[in-house]
Parts: sequence; C-alpha cells; structure tokens
Amino acid sequence: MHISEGVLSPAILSGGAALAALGVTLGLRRLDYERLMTVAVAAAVFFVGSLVHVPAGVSSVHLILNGLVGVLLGWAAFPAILVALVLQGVLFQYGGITVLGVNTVTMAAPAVLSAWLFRPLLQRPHWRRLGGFCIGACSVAGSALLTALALGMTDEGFLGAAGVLLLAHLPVMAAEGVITALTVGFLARVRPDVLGLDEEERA
Amino acid sequence: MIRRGLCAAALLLLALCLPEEGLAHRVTVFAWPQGTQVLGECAFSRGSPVRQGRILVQDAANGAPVLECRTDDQGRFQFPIPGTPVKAGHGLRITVMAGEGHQDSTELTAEELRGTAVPSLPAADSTHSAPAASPPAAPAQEVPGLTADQVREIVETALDSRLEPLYRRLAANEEAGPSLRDIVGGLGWILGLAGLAAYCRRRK
Repeated sequence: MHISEGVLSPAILSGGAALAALGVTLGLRRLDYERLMTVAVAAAVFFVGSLVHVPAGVSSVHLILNGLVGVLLGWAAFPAILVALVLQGVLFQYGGITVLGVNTVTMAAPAVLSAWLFRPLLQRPHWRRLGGFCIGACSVAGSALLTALALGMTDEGFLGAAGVLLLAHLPVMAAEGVITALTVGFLARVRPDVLGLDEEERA
Repeated sequence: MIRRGLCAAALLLLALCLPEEGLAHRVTVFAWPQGTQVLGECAFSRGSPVRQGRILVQDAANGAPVLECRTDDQGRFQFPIPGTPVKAGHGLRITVMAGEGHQDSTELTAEELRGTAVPSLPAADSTHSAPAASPPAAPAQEVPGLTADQVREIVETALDSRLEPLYRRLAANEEAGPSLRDIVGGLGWILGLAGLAAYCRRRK
C-alpha cells in the first residue's frame, strides 16, 4: 500500500507531510523515554513486516502490521512508522521520499485511532483477543481507505480504488487481526506493562 | 484453540478464493529496443507480472505524450519505435501505471533507439547526426547481392536474438526483492537511531 513517487499531486503531498509532521511531533512529545526500546522494536517489526507476503490467489500482498505498532505505541506510532518508511524507501525502494508524509499518515493514523477505539476491550481478559483482532483488522482497512482517498483526490476514482484495495487486503486484514490478537494475548500475560495495561488496572 | 483454528481456516479460505491482484509495493518497468520495436517487461517485486497495466510513452526531452499501450498477461509490452522524437534526437520516457498508486518509469536514450531503428532512419540522416557510427568501410567490402543496409539489418537481428536473454535476465535482476543485506542494514539503523535518541536524552 506504499504509494509511489510521482502519483499524487503536490497539494496532497504537502497536506500529507503537514499532517505527518503534526503526528510525529505529538508522538515524540508524548513519548515516555523509558519505552524507547519498545518503539525501536515496533519500528523494526513494521520495517520487516512488509517483506512477509500473504498469498492472495496467484499474486501476493504484504503484511503491514500497523495495528500492532499502534496498540504497542499509541501516538508514538507516528515517529516509529516514519522511520521504518524512510528505511523501506531508501533500502527497498518501496514508496518514495516525497510521498513519505502521505504514507506515514495513511499507515499511522488508522492504527492510532483503532488502538484508541478498541482499548477498552483489551482491559477485559475475555475480550482481549477480540480487541486485538479488531485493532489489527481495522488498522489495515483504515489504511486502505485513506490510501484510496489520497489516490481518489488525484486521479483514480475513490470508489474504484477503495474497492480494489479493500478486497485485496482482506487476507491481510484477517492475518493481521490474528497476529495482533495472539501478540496482545501473549503480552498481556507475560509483559502487561508493554501494553500499558498494568498502570490502568492499578489506577 | 477452536477460535484459532477457525481463524486459520477462514484465512486460508480467503486466500484461496480472492482474485489475483498484484498489490505488492514496488513496481518496475524495464525496456529495450529490438529492431524497429521497443520491448519491455513490467513486474511487481518478486517477479509477479503487471497484468493489463497502462504504459505511457513520452518524449523524454519535453514530456509530450507519444503513445499509450497496455501490458499483456505476462507483463510484457511492445510498440514500434516512434519516428518523431528519435529523429529530433530525443529519448523516450516509458512509464507504467499499475494502478492503486504504483508507478515507475524508465528512459531509453536516442542513441540506444537510433542504434537499432535502422529502417526508420534514412541513410542521409546518419551522416549528419552520427558520422562516426556509420561504417565507412562498408561499401568497399560489400558482398555481391547484399547492400550495406541489408547486412546491417542481418547483424542487428542476430545480435538482438543473442542479447534478448541478457536483457531478460537484467529485467529479472531489477525485479528481485530486497536482499538480506538491506534488511539487516535497516534493522541496524533502527537500533542505532534508538541508541542515539537515548544518548541525547541522557545528556539533557
């Protein structure tokens, strides 16, 4: 779902860059520096996740794992995803440098939003897995919708792009839902502090 | 456990029944001249072909659109070398638009195109544009029954057929996914940045 160089109009590119800058600033300001290594590991997971291909018929789409980053980091997902996207752009030639802002927003914003929306579910042990699944799946769906929106504002019709992107990412949504659910379930048992659950329970 | 099994089954089912869509992240276009044609290949990373992708050919010097075509189901395309930009000494920019924000372009210079497009260029043209390239000794050693142009054409065809596998291998190389070195390098960068941030934080 990385948008390539030269596809979007300058207005959308600069709008995306501004939004991404806002998100990154917020993320850095709210970042608890005790959790710096969590941010680095989440960024590394996102960076490598795009190399894991999910079969969709003959061809394949790749994992995004933005929901997992969102649930681990909250607002700090913005700087983490930005760094990972820079490295993917430079080393793998995915996406591009001018499109960084737009790509950061399309990946990070839905992740932060759905992690915030489904957070209450994570605090109940019985609903925790479901919450994780929803975060993983909704983040991918949100990214597909935002990418379609960015493309729709340039030339391809929004509805067409949204349809194709959502359909192709259905297996990714399912896969990431399962991955996020399992990870959240595991972390809640072993290291609840990484999810920030223990503080909330004590409070 | 049952839920996990159900999820896995659903995932498999989805993966099997979805239409094939090349929606990996990077798309590459590779083109080379052959005879009077330009041949090319488009693929997403890991070599899955771009089916029915839009190919836009422009004059590299001024961006004027020259022609448009589509890739076939193997991701291949071909079009005749257009006369106007090549005669003007301009190259061609070939852009593939694979949809959903995937795009890549490549350029063929006028020299590459002129080298093969013999029939489209009258001999008079080559004297003023590339005098060194025209073989001066050719008329002297002309084989009876064959003109210099015919000989050149035969050589071009033979060379093209020899070079085509090479071009294809180059194309495949360009389409290969990221290497282990890139991946490890990226992970190192992330750790390094985190270390840098921690260091700066401590100094405050």
